[in-house]
Amino acid sequence: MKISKYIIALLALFALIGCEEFEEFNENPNEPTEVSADVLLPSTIRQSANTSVDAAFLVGNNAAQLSAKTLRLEVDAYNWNAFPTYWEGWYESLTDAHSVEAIALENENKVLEGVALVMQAYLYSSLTNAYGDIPYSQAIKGDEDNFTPEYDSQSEIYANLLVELDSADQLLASGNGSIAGDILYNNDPAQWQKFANSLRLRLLMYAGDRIENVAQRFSEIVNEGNIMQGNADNAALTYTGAFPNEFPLIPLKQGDFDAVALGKAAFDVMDSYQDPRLLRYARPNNEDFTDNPEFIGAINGQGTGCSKDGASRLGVQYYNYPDLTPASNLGLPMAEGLMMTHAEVEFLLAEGIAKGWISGNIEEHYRAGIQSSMEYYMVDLGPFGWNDFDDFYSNSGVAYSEVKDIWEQKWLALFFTGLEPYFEVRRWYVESGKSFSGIPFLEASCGNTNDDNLPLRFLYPGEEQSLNEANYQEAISRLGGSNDQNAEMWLVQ
Amino acid sequence: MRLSLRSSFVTILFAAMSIIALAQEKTITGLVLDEDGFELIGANVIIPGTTEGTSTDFDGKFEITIPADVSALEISYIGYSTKTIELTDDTYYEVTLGSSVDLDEVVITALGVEREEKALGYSVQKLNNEDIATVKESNIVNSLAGKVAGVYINGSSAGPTASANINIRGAASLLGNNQPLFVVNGLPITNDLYSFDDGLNGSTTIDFGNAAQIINADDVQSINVLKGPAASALYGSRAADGVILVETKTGKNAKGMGIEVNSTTNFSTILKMPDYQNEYGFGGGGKYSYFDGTNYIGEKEYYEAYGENWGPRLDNGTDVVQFNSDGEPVPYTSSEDNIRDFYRTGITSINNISFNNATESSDFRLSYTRLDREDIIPNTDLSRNTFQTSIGKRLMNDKLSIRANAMYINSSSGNIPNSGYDESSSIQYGWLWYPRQVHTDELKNYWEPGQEGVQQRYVEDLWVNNPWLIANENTNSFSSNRLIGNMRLEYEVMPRLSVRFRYGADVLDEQRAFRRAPSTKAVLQGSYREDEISFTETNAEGLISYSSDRLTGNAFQYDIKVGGNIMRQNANTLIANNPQLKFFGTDESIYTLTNARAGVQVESQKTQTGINSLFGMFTFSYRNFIYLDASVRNDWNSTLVNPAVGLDGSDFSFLYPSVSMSLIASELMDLSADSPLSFLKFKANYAEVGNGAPPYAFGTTFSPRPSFGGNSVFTTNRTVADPNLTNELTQAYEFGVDARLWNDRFRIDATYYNMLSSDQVIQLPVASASGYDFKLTNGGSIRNTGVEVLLSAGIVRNPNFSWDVTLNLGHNRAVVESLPDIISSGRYSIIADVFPGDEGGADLEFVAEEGELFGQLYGLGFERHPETGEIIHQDGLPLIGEDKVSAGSYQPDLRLGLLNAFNWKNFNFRFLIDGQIGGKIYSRSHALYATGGAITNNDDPNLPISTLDGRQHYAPQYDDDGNLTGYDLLDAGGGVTGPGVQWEDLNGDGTFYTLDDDGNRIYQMDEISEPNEQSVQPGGIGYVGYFYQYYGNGFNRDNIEAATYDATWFKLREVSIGYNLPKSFVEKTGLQSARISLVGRNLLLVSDVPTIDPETFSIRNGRFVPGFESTQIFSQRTFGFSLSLGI
Repeated sequence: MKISKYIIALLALFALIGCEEFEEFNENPNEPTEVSADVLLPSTIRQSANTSVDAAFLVGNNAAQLSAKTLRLEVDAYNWNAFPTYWEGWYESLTDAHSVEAIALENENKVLEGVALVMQAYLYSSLTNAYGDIPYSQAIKGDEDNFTPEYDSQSEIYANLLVELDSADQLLASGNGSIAGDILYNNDPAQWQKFANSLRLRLLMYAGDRIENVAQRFSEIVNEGNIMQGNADNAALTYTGAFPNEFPLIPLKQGDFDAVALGKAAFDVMDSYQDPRLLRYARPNNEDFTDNPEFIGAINGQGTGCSKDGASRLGVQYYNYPDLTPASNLGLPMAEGLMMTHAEVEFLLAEGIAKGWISGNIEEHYRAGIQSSMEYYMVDLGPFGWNDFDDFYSNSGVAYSEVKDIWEQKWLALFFTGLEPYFEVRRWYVESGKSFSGIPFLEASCGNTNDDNLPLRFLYPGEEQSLNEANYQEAISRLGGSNDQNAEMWLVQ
Repeated sequence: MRLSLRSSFVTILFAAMSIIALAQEKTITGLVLDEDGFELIGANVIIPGTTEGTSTDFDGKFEITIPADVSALEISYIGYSTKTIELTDDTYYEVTLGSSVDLDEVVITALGVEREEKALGYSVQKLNNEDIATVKESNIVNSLAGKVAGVYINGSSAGPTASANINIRGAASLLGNNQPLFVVNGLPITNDLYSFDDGLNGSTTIDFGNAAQIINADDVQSINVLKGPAASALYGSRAADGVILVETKTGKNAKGMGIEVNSTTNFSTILKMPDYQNEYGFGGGGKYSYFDGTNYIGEKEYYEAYGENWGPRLDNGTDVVQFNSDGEPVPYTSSEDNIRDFYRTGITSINNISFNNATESSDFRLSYTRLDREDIIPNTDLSRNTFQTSIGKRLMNDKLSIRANAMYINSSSGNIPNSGYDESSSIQYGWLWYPRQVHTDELKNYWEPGQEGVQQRYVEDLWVNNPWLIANENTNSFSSNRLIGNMRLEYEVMPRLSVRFRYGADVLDEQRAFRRAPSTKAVLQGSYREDEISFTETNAEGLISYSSDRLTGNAFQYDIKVGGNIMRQNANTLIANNPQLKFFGTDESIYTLTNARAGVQVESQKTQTGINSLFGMFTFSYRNFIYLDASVRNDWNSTLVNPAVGLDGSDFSFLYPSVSMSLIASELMDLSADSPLSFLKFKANYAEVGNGAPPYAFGTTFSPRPSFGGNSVFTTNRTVADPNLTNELTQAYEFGVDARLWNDRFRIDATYYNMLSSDQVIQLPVASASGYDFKLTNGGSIRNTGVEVLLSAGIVRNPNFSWDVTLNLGHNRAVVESLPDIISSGRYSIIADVFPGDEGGADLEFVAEEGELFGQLYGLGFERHPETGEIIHQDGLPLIGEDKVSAGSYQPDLRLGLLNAFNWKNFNFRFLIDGQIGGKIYSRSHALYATGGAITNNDDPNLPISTLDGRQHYAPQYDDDGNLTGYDLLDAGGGVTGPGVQWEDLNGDGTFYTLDDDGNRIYQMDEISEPNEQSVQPGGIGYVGYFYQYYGNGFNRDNIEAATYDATWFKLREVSIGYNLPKSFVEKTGLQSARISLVGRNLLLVSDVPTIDPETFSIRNGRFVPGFESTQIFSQRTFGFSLSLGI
């Protein structure tokens, strides 16, 4: 038995010495535990832009009837669900945006902190606009062991976002620190500042009188003048053109891309003005880009009387068909990932004037909005018989006559700007007394299953029901007890 | 009576020993007989615990001279139970050996220790070579199905390397695959899946298989299944799900030089196919006409790329322009076996040759096996070369023995089929939307003429790929080399004290390549990817054994073993993906990483883990009727070391004990010769096993992402770490009884077990609003309880004819006892979205729910009448509820295997029926086929409506140039009326229920009292219709209830008819033995599940997901013949 004792002792020693290397074994060789902000910033920007494109393509454009689905018609038929990929996508982008903020705070990089706050505000505002009350003040705190964040009320979120954007504006202006890895604005704090302030205008417009002193707030931002001045200031991600950094629709199956076509409502309006953007938003059925392009708009909705007698495909910048004219043949770049454009800002100003929040000439901004949008799309006026923009503006019938013209042109200009087309249509729908009757260019989608009511929100995703149940239930009770597409969030009350 | 006799016998023995201690030697003679009184020639007679002895002569007699203090002799003969005789003053003994193999069957237990099964207080079941090698499978795990009680094996049909999901006694862990540890010749090997990601829409994708499948049946001596923690505790944390011990053949029993040759040839055909309909063709709303392949509705309503079979009636005299008719209207006719004809007869040949030799002090065996398999999908195959060798040598007067085993396996395939919901390389995906009227031969030329390598040719351009393009161009190939080697040194330091050292290595190196041709839908530019996988595991083990002196004849005997093991594992994967090809064409050179339009994306993953262990085992027996085992093991596991706090702060050491007892009650009882009871044993045990965590579980990290232009990109890892992570713990007890009757002709062996696995290491899904998707933490517990029963009967036992029946039964309930408090809903989604990528649908989930059976299938359900359960309809369409419901668990109530074996002269005939009763299976295929109108749905037990009923259909009209001018309505179609009730909103409140204060529904019964009488089209008009709504909301097949079925199935799993050529004949040819067999596998399937073979599973992120099927490759039946020659 003596021998075995020795050997046991030997083995024990062996085992314990062997464990020394375990510390090294379990150090992750694949992923760092610390990174710099310049690698996280492109992640949050790229993913935000991709989510925006996807949301516009599948929901935003279709709910606003700029485009129409020809397949999988739930959105057009007003039979909505949670669209969980947007909830997940936005919160995922927020994780990186919060990580950027944490790094900025640690390094006392105020400019970078400002950038992080702008991205957060953009993402949180998209979330709350879509879903209503959402986890906000307690969100992205999983690293602090909070996995069941409470929902904040939308009014508080709005109030907070405006404060955050205000402080972002100041941080960006401080000149204290720098940005790196910025694939949106090439590390230029001034442009971020313009985005921040333009975003404030957008939020104030959505909130309207629900927010105290909305007019004063709006005019202060405008008076400071640090808002988007031209398309160079657009919050638009220019893709590199190679997978996975190409426009997110390019890898789709043709059938999936063709499942969305030019909408009849948008077509009717643009056709009546001979709007040259038609040739950008849609691909002419006769493949004629120079002379007499022909288009068909598809009716949104399904059922008897909603038949889609053909429909024009979306424009050349959005997809490469193997056998059809590519964008490059027309000298056009592929589409960008839009978060906000200068055209929208001009229309915000025009409507701000119309609402009496600021003073100025409505038509000037109205016209600037249209012109900015046309410039952005590098329109070709010839095929529509126009000599120049003045010619189009003055003679097409598009010239300003009443406030609702702003809505119409803004609606057209918001094509592919994330969910904004839907959010704006919803605002006008609400301002019209929850009716389409006040929106001259739109009516409820054909054969819809929601009694001609525009759905007012996305449902909360199922994961909240199972993973954050108590808070979810509380949020639902604030909505009137049901996770319903027609339930009224603060913004539409 | 017998007891007292025995104890007085012991007394006399002790007395006698003291008297005869003076004598030096004694001579014993005897006769060894079998039960029928025939002399056994060549039976071994040895001194127990030694190799000294003699054997019987031609008359069955022996004579042996032994030291006077030897008190017992051990008599053994192959095929008979070994008997130990205790020596008295007599010098002549007549010994009868029972022919029961079972009674004293020697099984191999933990650490490779051979034990008599009767001495075990836990469950070990043994299979011999002929049990697994008679009817061969290219995945050996499938060969165990139905043969071991309590072992649940689900194969799948996912190609030649398809995985087999094996669970012993249920599922102990929420994380991971609950696969047992595979131990080959004493040292563990990997059985991982190495499946890195999902295809589009997830589910099972390309199944390169579980790594243990390469074990070659011809080289296997025996497989011992160690069930439950008590049996496997000495293997430590990795054995929490049991152990499969594989021993390979050696040359030890060879009589001189010998050669064996085995050859098997099998043919495979389709076992089960969907019930395709042949009455309506491609199109929608009863309309179809071909224009250019890109319109699914379009201005002229071509419906040519509608992707479904809701088109015009076939064989109806209608002329239709079709994709291959050059714009001419031609008859629209059915093509009944169009899909079946795509497949070919699979052929598998397995050829093995082995050489054996043994001398007095050494032995060797060398074997080579070649497996070639052509699978039923064209251009899919597998080939495998296996070299196996074992060399044994005894030195220093037999005190030192050395053995080396090595297995080298080289496998490769030019193409492993994809069985996922993935259009880019899954042929099965394509069939969902395949035109019923088009024969696949029409598509064999899969390139557009003049555009070879650039543009594929298919019936439509929007959705699906040409199946021949997928089979021939979009290949998934692999080549792997595997070396499993080990060596063992055993030295007898002094009598009864020996030291053993073993070292083993499992080295795997595998390359995979994935091609996608240009013009593949959704991969228009084509792509090429290479994966490089390497894995190494080494184990070094030392063991010291000390045993009591058997020769003293002492009633008390004991055995002590103490040892340690050092395990190290290294795994590296490197994935390089060229997502877009630069140059196209048919040249081989286009499929390279360098032919890239833009950057090649690279991912790499390295893991390193180690476990150090010390263990000890103590065995105690009293007079061969009480056996007591106790063991203890301590593991130090590197995965539980938190590098942030270091070794001292980490809790990475855990200890667990086991104790078991076997009581042979029949030895205590007075069993008269005519007593029906011949053997009775009780066993009981208790054990604990710990389990570690995945590597790198500590620390929140940032994951690399493809760069953007010149910008490197990282994203916050979606899993947040728990700094307090600790080991899982399983505590188990079991007890059982083994009773044999009428001279062991009937046997019942029943075991009850109860295992509680707590502190589960789980990938806890968290609300994404927290910033993360998962938290890796401890929490939750699963209790597995179950019963295993083995029944065997020798129904007929004549010298010329015998009939043996064995029935294996297993009943297991894995119940989720608790979940972490953070999950307030009581539901943990193990897989939160089984079929990702479906736009907008409510996800189907694989769920652990507190208080319920593990593995609930969650999704949406129907709105049902609160009393009758009937489905509520609105406007003729079934209503789907908003909240998710469970359709039950995948777990079967009973798993059984029934083996019948007949021997008649030189013939033997065996057949095995295997099956399960209960459990649920969700069939994605059925839901998709039915919504697409491709199947009849006549075999659906859930829904008595045919897709052929009530369809509207039209005949297209053409002008003289073949241009579509319109459609003639041939039949408006009466539609279908769903069974159930109709909701009428009598009070106009828009709902048929209200909620009380507690949120309970109060139904407005008058609104849902009338039966549904409204007819709607079955499908295909603007993608609405009965079948669309029934399986979910339009396109979202998110209704779990509609396509979930009782998975009960039975298979005629194995049949073999063998014939041993008569010795007289064989010897004339110069051979020693020859045997020919006809074999069959999976010849019949009996099940009510429509469309699919319910023996299946999905794989997501390297994890088996039982209970969910998606676009399964058709399962196969196999039949063939084999030949075995001994030279």
